[in-house]
Amino acid sequence: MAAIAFERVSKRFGATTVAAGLSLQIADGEFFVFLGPSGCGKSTLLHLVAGIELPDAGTIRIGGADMRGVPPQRRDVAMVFQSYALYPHLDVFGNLAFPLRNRGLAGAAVRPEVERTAAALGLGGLLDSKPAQLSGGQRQRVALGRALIRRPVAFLMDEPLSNLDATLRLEIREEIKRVHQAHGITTVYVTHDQEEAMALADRIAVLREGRIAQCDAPQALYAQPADTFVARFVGTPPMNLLPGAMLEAHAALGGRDPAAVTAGLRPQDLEARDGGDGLAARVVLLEPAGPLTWVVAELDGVRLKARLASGARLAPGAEARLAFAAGAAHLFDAETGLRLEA
Amino acid sequence: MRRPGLWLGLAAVCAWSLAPFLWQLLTSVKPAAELEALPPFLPGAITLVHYEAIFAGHPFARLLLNSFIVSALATLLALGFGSLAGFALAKLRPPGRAATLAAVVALSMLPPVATVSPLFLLASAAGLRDTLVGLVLVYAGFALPLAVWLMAQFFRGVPDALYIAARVDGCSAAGAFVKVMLPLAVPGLTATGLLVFVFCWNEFLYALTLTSSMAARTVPVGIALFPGLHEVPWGEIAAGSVIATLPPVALAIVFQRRVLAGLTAGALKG
Amino acid sequence: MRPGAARLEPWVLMSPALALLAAVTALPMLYVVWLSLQQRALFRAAQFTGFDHYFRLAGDGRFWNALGNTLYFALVSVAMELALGLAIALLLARAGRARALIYGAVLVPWAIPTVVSARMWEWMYQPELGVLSFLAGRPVNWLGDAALALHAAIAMDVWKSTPFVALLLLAGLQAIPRELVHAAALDGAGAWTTFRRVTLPLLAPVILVAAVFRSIDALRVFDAIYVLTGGGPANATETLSIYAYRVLFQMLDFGYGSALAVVVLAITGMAALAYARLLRGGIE
Repeated sequence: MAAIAFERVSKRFGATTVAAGLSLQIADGEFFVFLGPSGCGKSTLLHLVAGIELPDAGTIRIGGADMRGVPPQRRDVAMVFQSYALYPHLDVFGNLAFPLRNRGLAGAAVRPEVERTAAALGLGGLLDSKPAQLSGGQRQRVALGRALIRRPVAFLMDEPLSNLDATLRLEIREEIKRVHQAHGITTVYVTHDQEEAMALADRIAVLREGRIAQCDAPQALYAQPADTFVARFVGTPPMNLLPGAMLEAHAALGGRDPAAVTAGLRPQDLEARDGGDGLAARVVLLEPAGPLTWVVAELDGVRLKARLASGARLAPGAEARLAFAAGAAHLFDAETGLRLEA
Repeated sequence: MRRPGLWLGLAAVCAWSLAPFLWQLLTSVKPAAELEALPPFLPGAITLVHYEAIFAGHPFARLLLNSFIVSALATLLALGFGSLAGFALAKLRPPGRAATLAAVVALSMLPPVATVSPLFLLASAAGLRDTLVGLVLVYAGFALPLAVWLMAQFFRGVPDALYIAARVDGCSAAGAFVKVMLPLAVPGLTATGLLVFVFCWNEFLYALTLTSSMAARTVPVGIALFPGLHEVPWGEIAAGSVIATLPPVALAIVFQRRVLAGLTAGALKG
Repeated sequence: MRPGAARLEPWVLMSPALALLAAVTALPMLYVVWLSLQQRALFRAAQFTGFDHYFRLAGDGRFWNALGNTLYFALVSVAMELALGLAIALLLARAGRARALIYGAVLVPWAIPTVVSARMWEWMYQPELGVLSFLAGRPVNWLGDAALALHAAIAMDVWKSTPFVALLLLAGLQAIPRELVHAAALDGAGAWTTFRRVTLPLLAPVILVAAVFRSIDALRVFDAIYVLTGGGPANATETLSIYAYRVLFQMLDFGYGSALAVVVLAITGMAALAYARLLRGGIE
């Protein structure tokens, strides 16, 4: 187990900037998530830690040791992939034993280790199966087992849940969290799914064009997004953003020039009523979502999403009143998108 | 298209493809006297004298042995070097790989006659003229562009994640190649090996110019230079042709799917 | 391991292949150009003569004859192979379960050594005893008649090479999404219109690739004609490769022969460039 540090790491692939002078400390035993939109090169960050790719500049430390010149096989990290990446020519036993054998563990010592790991992940009866015979969930358990079996100093997980269907995703997500709690191995996890990130992470780094837009605990990201990008990216449905002028009459903008402010309101904080005070907006459509119903409304060309107030009667075309608590509005600089403290 | 027309067409295709070979097969088992006239088409009696003659009168067995040794060794060499290079190009992604691949493709189109004079001089200087080793090296080198290109295509089809997994699971690049990539590329190796073997077995110009005696002469040269005292011994040529044809045709038919995969991958996958 | 070692790794793995390629193909390719600039009889001292051999080409009627034969051979055989290959591919595409069997038959000409197929055709082309004269109903001197010989060689090449073209085009046909053909049918297109307006345009890139592949092969043709006619009668079938071979190994003039070889190299190089342009963007 080890801390991982990025020190002014830069990496470019053609037009994609994966990292631009990235510096970051991941604590020993931490569950750390890189969250970013698809295609932003998040996986490459893991490849840099694993030594598959080399940084253009800067360096990575694992357990304090500079990894420059250390090949992947000597970094003692393990990886879990979106595509499982099980060796198709080996059975489950062979897959689990693969990292042990590469580390020179004697033949007789391999079997008990494999059996113990398989049993812990509920794979006991499958040791002779080939990966092609397993379900997606079983495959990802084998992949987890293969990563876990040699007690690496860190886990690198590359969207491990993205290929699974909705129910399995929750099941394996719990499994991952349980493994982390049981073994306390430093985990670096990459995903584009903010909900997954929130559920798993001790800390999340939101990536944007090779830079960290914000790095914080999940609740802090949600409560105090550092800029409009993070604000839109974290939380579902995404935060409503509207020109400050629209809010002028309703909330204190802290004495700021309304034209210089973008206001953010989470749909959860915005209640659509059929009368009373609030922003007057035209209802476009309704989206029932079980425990509540979302209302999409339009105000001066801006689309807003709000929670339907209980008992309110609204239909498309009707005028709604969108109400919110005084402290609910997030304020951002209209030009830079950066958060303004009230 | 209506079915009868389809079947007629397909039968015609088969007949057109097979007829010359079948005619040669018939010729090879006809008694010498029956080769002097046409008709009859079918041999009155089947004889193996022509086959006996090429093995008795001419050292055809030696030609076959030479061809087997040269083709097999050149194939092994091309597969070994080609799969290493193909793997490096497909999975290690060195800078300049596009230029390297383009150069490899360009070399695969090299006309043999363009390098036959320098190779003759180089082989003479190195003492490799009229040796099996010389032919093996030339054939392997000439088949390498195809082998590199095909293996790069096949390795590209193996997911990157498997290579990365092998590396973090404790393999060096070479270890990942041997333990994970090669076992997964067996179909590609088979297809490439078949094409290269057939290519080497059938090669003529280099064999013609780089050999001068039975020490290294191969089957195609033997058949092209078939000795005849007074007239051309058609029956014996036919017998030799049938034998020379069997290995590549048998391989092509038995491993049909692999050969087709190799042929189309070589030409179509850009 | 030093930091740079990981970047060297791919080149280390490629080095055996690159070394062999350099020794057996790239180096000789440069060497042949150097040879072509020399006056060099085999086993005698060489003398640098610059571009003399290339000037000599211009006035060499036998060279122009060989060039003409080569281009005629390539043009006619490739055109016929494409037409026949397309027809066979269309047939095979509908063959259903019999396909595997027919593939086997079609692969035979491809797999037969060129030298052997030349010998087979030489036998069939015999004026008195050959089966083709019998079929023609009279003795025809296929290979001895200057007007016929090159066509006889073309027929053999078409037989040998059409399977490759057919199999390539078949792979291209099978890559065309069936939905498109069905959609065309739903849009009221007949079989011919579907072929003209949907299949053929989608197949065009593959046809082009096959054409370039075959052209490169046909432009450097040696084995087939060398064994079938030896370039005769009266040089009527002599191609550039055969002329170069004769100058090199029968006249033992390595300088002029190498100049001829360089011409073959240049011509196939142009065809290869065309191919590279086709693939451009495709090579990752």
